[in-house]
Amino acid sequence: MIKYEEGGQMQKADVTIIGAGVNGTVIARELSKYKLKVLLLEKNAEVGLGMSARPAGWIQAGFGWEGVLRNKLIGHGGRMLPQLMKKLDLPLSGEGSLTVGRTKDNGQDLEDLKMLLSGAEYYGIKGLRIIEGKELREMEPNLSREFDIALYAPMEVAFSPWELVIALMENAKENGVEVLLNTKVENIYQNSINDIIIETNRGSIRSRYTVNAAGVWADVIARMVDKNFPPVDSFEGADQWIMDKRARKLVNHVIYDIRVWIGEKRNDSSERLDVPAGFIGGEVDDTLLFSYAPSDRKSERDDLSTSRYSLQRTVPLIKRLLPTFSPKDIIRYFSAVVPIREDFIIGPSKTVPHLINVQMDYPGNTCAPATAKLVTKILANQGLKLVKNSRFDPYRKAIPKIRELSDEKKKELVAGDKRYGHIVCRCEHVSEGEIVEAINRGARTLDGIKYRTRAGMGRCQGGFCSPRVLQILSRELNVPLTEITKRGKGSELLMFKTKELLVKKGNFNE
Amino acid sequence: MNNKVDVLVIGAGPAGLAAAIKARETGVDNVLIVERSEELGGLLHQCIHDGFGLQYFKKDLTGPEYAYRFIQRVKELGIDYLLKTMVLDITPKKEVVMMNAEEGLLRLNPKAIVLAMGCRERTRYNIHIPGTRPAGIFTAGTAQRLINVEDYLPGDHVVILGSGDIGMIMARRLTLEGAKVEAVIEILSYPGGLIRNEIQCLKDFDIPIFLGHTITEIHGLNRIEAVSVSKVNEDFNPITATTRKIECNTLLLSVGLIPENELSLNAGVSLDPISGGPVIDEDMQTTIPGIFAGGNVVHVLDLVDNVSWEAEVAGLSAAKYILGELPSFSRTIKLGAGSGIRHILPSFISGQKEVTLYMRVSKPNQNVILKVTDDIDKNCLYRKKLLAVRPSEMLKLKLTKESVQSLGKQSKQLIVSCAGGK
Repeated sequence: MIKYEEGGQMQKADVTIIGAGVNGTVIARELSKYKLKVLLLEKNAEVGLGMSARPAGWIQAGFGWEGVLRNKLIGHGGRMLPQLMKKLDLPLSGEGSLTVGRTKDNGQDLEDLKMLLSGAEYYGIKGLRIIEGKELREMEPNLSREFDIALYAPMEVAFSPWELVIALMENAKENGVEVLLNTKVENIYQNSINDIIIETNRGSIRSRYTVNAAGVWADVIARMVDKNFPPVDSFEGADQWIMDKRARKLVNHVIYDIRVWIGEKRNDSSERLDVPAGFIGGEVDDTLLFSYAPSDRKSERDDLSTSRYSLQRTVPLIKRLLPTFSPKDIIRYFSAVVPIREDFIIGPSKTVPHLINVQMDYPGNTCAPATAKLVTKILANQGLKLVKNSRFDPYRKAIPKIRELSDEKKKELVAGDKRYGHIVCRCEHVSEGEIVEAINRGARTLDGIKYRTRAGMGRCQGGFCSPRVLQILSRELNVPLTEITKRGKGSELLMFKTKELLVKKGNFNE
Repeated sequence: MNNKVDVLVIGAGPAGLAAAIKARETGVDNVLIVERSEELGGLLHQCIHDGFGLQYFKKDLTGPEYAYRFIQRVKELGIDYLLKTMVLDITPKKEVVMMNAEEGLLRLNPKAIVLAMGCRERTRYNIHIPGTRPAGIFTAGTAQRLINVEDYLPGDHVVILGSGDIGMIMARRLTLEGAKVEAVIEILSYPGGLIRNEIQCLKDFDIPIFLGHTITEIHGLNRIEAVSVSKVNEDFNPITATTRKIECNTLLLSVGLIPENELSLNAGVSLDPISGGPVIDEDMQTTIPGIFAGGNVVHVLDLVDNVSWEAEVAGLSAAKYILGELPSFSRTIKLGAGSGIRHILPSFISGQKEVTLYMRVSKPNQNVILKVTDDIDKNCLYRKKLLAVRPSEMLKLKLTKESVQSLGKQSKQLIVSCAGGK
């Protein structure tokens, strides 16, 4: 808890991290390997409610992306990510991806696929290969015959982007990082090189170093101390759709139309022209996600709305890949906002050298372990002493998922805590035990429960379970139901008790 | 816990209760009802309005009162039941896997199963409303539970999408609780529920209904702030020029019910693509012998009285199946939806006994003739003039034993049609 005490005593820290998305949490965990007082600030009521939870959860091999720093981080990060997932007890699934093209049309697609392959090899990425004809058809029986060549990337497996953020946060907390939710940075200034003052809505912090990992807001934070830091003036985001698990068998791999990475047409100087193309793939939870590229331009930094026409535009793109595709099994859709930049920005502020700015967009999740190492190195270069924390425990255990356990393990779990036998979320088979454990680990809102347990992510989207989850939150946190929110203050779900309005209006005798 | 279950009924709503009672009354000893919720009665508990039982009991009851009569009978008959117990799976070998807090995991092998899982509500995502995803959006049934059972009002400035019965009933309910219901928005050119509800819920409370309109966007970051509403053309596409914003802090969705057949699919039961429920014959038996179904899990019924009657057939058949008295017929006749009919149930009849057919018309009409004819020789088995029909009011007709037995040996299909009129 930050307190601004009388006499000017503020909360002190060695490193304060602004933003608890995938970058903030992975950096927090990395720093917890050293003897440092680390604070992780998050303006929302839960971690990971920003953009980190939103991308399709597929590890990126590292082809088709632009930017030197980006490609370096994808390569290193992608290699480290599976190990990190294991330590954090997070599942990976799927058979990798296929970027598909056609041999007809003057062979441009094959040229492009080969270019992607050699670009990846340049950055040291091994294991990709070109597939064609019969082998491709066997791998993807539902793929349109129009596509007969593909770049196969077996390492592009699925993971859960929001579970990654939560797991990183939990492990960082276990190792001594203090997480401060509902804490929004309002101003930053430097007293002296080793003394940064961070003013928040809940008091001030005095920190020797600061990491600005505020995502789409990072340039706003950076500009608080340096007006010459380049502002982001355009944002992009794509609508994404999730389909019922019943549709999962449509594809075995993540399928990208080659034009997702490279435009169909080229002008005379061989510049890429963005032409829409679709992609679709299985998520780690066995739902199917589909979307399109290039992304839409968004007008506002916090514009999370989905567009009216995007589905109409996207269905034909997916049908081109998979003629039997039907949008009838859509259970959810959402949108994201990311800053448009040519390359990632990771480095010390020009005016406050102990403030390290981190502003990235896709694929931040794949890069995360490498980003953490890079930021730590930059902090060390700026003089931060790194003394090993001998009590650092890299392992974190996930909340047991009763639906995935064998009969024996199910019985054991229920015998230990009856509440694991009471199924609350009907669609995803989530038990009361899991919901209570999520609250014990810090969930305070309906979305917090949803992201930690999947309750509310199924086909009925919380229609059955949300009244029950609200009751459990109210009971465990000992707060009235009217105070429970969807995702923080301002998103309360139940506004009044019954009869409250009538009493106010004088229509009802108590 | 006794593993020797004869009839396992999944769901303790009106369908499950009726089926279980009938099975027991027909002579089955071991009937077990499994219910995932905290009490028997299903959704009837939250339906505190009246209109239940007008046909079945010849009385005007509220939902809880209707449920009470069946719950009392279950207890009188000593029928076993498990509450807060979720059925996780039905295997193709008819093994039923379930969980609860007291006993953990249970695997049972009943001799017969009655599926009575009811429906779930269509969500905002199923109908692709674009915009933001703030708090304050509820399906009408969930809102009904929150108000009538949990005792909380989701909001006080409301727009309702969909004029199905539950939408109209909630419009009234919210108004009675002091909320302001700005409008009920309906995409079709006619209301989607019973005429009785149009009058008693909307007209009587001066709640406007916008026919031929839909919601084209949701606004608000953390809590809903407004909806954009547009008129639609004949293809149900929004006419952009007519779009306007209606401010609200709550949106209720009453946009359809989907029979909940996940377990049915796991068991290998064939589903009918139009109804969304299992393909069933006149005994309410599915395509898997020994698995029966009744109530909203088969098709969405509008009167609970019909749910009870239909589910009783399922319970009776399940009992007969166990007692070896359910005849298997060598001849089955398909029922087809002809002109003017959207869907007809059951899907197959034996042609050997009397049967009640349930159907919905595809559009509102007046001065029509409801007919059942043999597809081959065009013989008419049933013919009735009706003054007015609409999709929201389910029709039922009885084919007598004589009429079905009069069908020629080559009859393979009967067509039900509802044509004529304007």
